[in-house]
Amino acid sequence: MSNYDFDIIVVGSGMSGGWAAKEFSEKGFKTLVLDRGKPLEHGDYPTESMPPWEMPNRGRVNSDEVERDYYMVKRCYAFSEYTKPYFINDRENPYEFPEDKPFEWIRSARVGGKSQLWHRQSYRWGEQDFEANARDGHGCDWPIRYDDVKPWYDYVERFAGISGGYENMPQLPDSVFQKPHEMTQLEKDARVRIEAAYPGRRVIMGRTAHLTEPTEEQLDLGRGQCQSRNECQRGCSWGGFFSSLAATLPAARRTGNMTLKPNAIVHSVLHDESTGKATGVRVIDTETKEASIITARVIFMCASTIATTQVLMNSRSAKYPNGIGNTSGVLGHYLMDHVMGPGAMARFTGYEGFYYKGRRPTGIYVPRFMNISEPTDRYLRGFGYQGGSWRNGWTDEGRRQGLGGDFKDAFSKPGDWWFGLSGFGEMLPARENHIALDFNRLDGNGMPIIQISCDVGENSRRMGKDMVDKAVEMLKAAGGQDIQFSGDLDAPGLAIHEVGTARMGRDPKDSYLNGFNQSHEVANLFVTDGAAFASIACQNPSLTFMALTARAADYAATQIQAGVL
Amino acid sequence: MGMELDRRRLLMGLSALMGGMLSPVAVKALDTATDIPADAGFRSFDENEVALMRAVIDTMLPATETPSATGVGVDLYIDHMLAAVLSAEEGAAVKRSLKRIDAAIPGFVDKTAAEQQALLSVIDGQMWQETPEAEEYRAFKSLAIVGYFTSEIGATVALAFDPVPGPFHNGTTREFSRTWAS
Repeated sequence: MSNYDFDIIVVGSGMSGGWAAKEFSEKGFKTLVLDRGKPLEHGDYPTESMPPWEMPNRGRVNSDEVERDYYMVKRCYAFSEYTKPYFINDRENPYEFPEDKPFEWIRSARVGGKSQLWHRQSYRWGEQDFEANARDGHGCDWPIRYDDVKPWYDYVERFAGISGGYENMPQLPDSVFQKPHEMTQLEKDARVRIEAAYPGRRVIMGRTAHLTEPTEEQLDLGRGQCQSRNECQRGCSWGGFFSSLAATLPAARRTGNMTLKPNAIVHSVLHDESTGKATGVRVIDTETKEASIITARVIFMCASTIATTQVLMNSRSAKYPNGIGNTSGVLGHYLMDHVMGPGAMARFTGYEGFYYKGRRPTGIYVPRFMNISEPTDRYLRGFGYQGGSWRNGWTDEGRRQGLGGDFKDAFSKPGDWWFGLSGFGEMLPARENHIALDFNRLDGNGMPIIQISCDVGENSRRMGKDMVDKAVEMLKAAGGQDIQFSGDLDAPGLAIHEVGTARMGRDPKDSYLNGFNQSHEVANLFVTDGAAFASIACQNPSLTFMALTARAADYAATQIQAGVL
Repeated sequence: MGMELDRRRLLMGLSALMGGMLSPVAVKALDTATDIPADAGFRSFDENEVALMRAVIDTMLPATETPSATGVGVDLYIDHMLAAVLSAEEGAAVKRSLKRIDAAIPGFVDKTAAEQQALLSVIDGQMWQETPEAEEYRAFKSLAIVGYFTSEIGATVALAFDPVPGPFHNGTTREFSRTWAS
């Protein structure tokens, strides 16, 4: 191994990269983790616990600055004065899309990636999700099935810590759980009414990567029980929720085998035609703009879906003029995100005496039922809902009429109860949804400008209508009034669940990776972030990023030890 | 100053209800309620505008058991928002809203609190259409309310502030009678 600078290079330190770092470091491999982001140390979160009156702008970002530098990330619900340092500057990192096909790409600016900014919803995929492409012919068949991933879900869940309730539903297999968060009284009642009105539909507690019963292993890493602050994206120095900063990177660091290099953007993966293998990466220092080459036995790409594929497409050689390992030409194609936007909410009476303590960091979940227990010929696949109930606080201020003493004091009393459902639907894989690079124009780091072209498609639009209708009918069944709904679809990207563009498959002619997230053509090159996905299912993807990464790392380690890699 | 004394008495009473001792924040509330300097160095408003803005936000959010808008520094907050946070156009909209109130109710500043409330209530009642004027008025009113409830006294005395709640659990409004600040 001494011919290489490192045994392993992991590109990216987010959800997937953190897992690759941990697994390889714990297996004894000298592992280099490169991240384009600025450094961020766990615990060093300047706005954590800051009350609003101590924030210079009470949480708001200067309007001119937003329009100039954060015109895309402002669309993310988590963007504020508290979290601004963790989001990328859109102006300095441009990408393009056709005017009629916006793609709202939300990016992190720091080590830890989006594992620091995520919403922490954690759901296994079911058998139907790995079979979907084979069944209806959209997208290529996944080379793996639920049973291949199941032990790796078990494995990552024990370490990450997932709270949730055992429900025994085939389409949404149970995780290894810590105890679930509590439903409100309204949610408990709505669950009974909805499940009685619509057999086959279920209302369950949201499954979320928060510690409710921390294990010895988690406590040893310095993590502790979630305290319901729900200010996670500012950073949680208690490690109450799973992030690579709080969990996988510290686990990797304590082995002494990990080197973490921030401000290091990977320009390309280098290839040796004589051996047929990747030899290392070309790295640009984002501060000095100096380039260097670092070599390793195995490369794991975990830079996030679109960024990973950008690097791969930029890795051009005589052998691979269209990007390393891309003889098939499939690289860059089949970009997906969740169908998001449609949903409904309703006001409920009869619960005026109920309230709660704590900002619960999750809500309820309605697992997919369409084309599971309720077939339809209007569209393929299906959707789930995230949702929950709350009492209005004071932040409906813009809709309150009146003024004066009684008007003011009314804010001190808890407001009406509301219950909302928000759909997350499965978008079909389609070749025309793709990213391309403009090699004639480079960004400030010398990376070719990314051009994204993505449309959710007709199937998604038909599904979106049903997402509203079903939400409304369930809220009615639950006893809601004043139902408000919207069927508008968000632009793709905004669900921040983007996947695809370097997909796994059985056939090297129409897929980029095999069943172990390994390049069909370049054996020591792996992609284990969202780029590897051949379909998107309707569940939030992060838990599957974790499981596939740990599984691929185990496979690669075995291959190295066998002398194959 | 009779009103200031009432407010002090009410705050003391509130404190008594809350357990008989003045919390550090309640003490601060008393200080803030009585010690706002006449000229705190406004950057975005001239003297007349400050007087009008204070009169308007204190009519929207007058002193009750808790201090008025000006009493918790909402005037300074709005000034800061115009100076450092809002775009030029957003800031101009705030000023237009104040000018419209000034034009509709001449001499607003010098009227009694009861007159101010009666007259501004009429305008408030007309501001629910989708006109630019109405939207600007509502944006201004929102600014005042957000400034109030993100202030220390607004968040911790008018509302209930809980930085570290511990595990989420259900309860009743007998246990948790005030709106959570966040």
